[in-house]
Amino acid sequence: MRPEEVRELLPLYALGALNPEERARLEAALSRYPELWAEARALQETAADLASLVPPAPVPPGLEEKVMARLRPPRRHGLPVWLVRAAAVLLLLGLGYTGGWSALWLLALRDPQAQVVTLASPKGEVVGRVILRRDRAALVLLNRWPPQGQVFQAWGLAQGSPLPLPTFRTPIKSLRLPPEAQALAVSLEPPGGSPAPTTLLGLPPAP
Amino acid sequence: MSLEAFSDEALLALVARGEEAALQQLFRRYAGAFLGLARRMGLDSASGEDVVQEAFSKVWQNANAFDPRRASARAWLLAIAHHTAVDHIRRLEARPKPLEDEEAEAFDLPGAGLDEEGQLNRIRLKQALAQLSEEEREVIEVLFYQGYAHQEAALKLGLPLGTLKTRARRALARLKGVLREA
Repeated sequence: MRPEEVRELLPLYALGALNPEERARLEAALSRYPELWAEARALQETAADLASLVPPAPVPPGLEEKVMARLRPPRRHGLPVWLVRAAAVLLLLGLGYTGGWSALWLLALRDPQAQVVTLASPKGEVVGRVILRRDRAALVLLNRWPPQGQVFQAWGLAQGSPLPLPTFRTPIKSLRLPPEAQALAVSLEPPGGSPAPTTLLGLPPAP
Repeated sequence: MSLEAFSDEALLALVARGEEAALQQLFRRYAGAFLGLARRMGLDSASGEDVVQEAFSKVWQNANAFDPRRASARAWLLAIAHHTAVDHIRRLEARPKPLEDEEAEAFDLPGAGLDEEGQLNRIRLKQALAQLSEEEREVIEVLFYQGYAHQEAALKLGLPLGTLKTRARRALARLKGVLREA
């Protein structure tokens, strides 16, 4: 879609008058033409006024609970994609490592007290997950390798300064969380690690 | 920390990180507006609730696609609700009859959040729409509040598609002027 075609459709887009396929095509095209963003933004603001000046309706009791429940599909309907991938990696590594190691981590996931924590960059991009067993053994699973010349380093998050934990070079690492640490983070460091984090890579959600 | 003081933009950034409490806060800010819009577009209470549920699921899934350079969080959220309502209406076999402004007053019950501000907003919107020509108002009504796709709307109004596009652009430009100076 050329910029002039995108521009011509912007009012219809703002008014919701495109069908879903046209809407998706326009959104994809618009992302390529930053010169049109100011105009798109202005039209969207006016359309938002048309929506927001309509008087609100009372929210029926129970609707909030229904909305929140939809965010968490029941686990019995299959494992999440990331977990299936993690399991595949564990099984693969298990073949060349120790037979029982990967199986033990998979079994740990059946324990309802085992925690699975998403790690996200300071900008909000998901970079991996941590499985934390009740005996404070932790398995870090990242979705990338470290840049050349750098290593990952784990950190125990406690009151005060982060506690330096082992460095590692692969996207998967098992370690033990010190008793005083409440959560785990990951940073990028020069080889050998650092006493304080240099570039934060993955943080747990805010408590 | 309470999320009540967070801006919509900050809440969306937290939603993108999977913070359910941030989505809950957005629900508390916007669910009434989403329901009011669905109602204005003629959807009954059950369909309105479906729209709200679907819209917040989309917010949850797509928050990482929100780009503050391209839209404010408010406009992005309301666009998701509007698109969801529009798609819902187009799936129905019989189009619902949208409420006219006077009928909208019937559900503006007294209560928290639905008092003077709602009344003032309705007057402001009515006055802004009154500044448009009859033809421009009709385009806004058919496209935005009745949810017709542009090809269908052109047929319904007996207009060439190019004329519909021109009127839509002109109507939005004029509304922008009127609403910003009000």
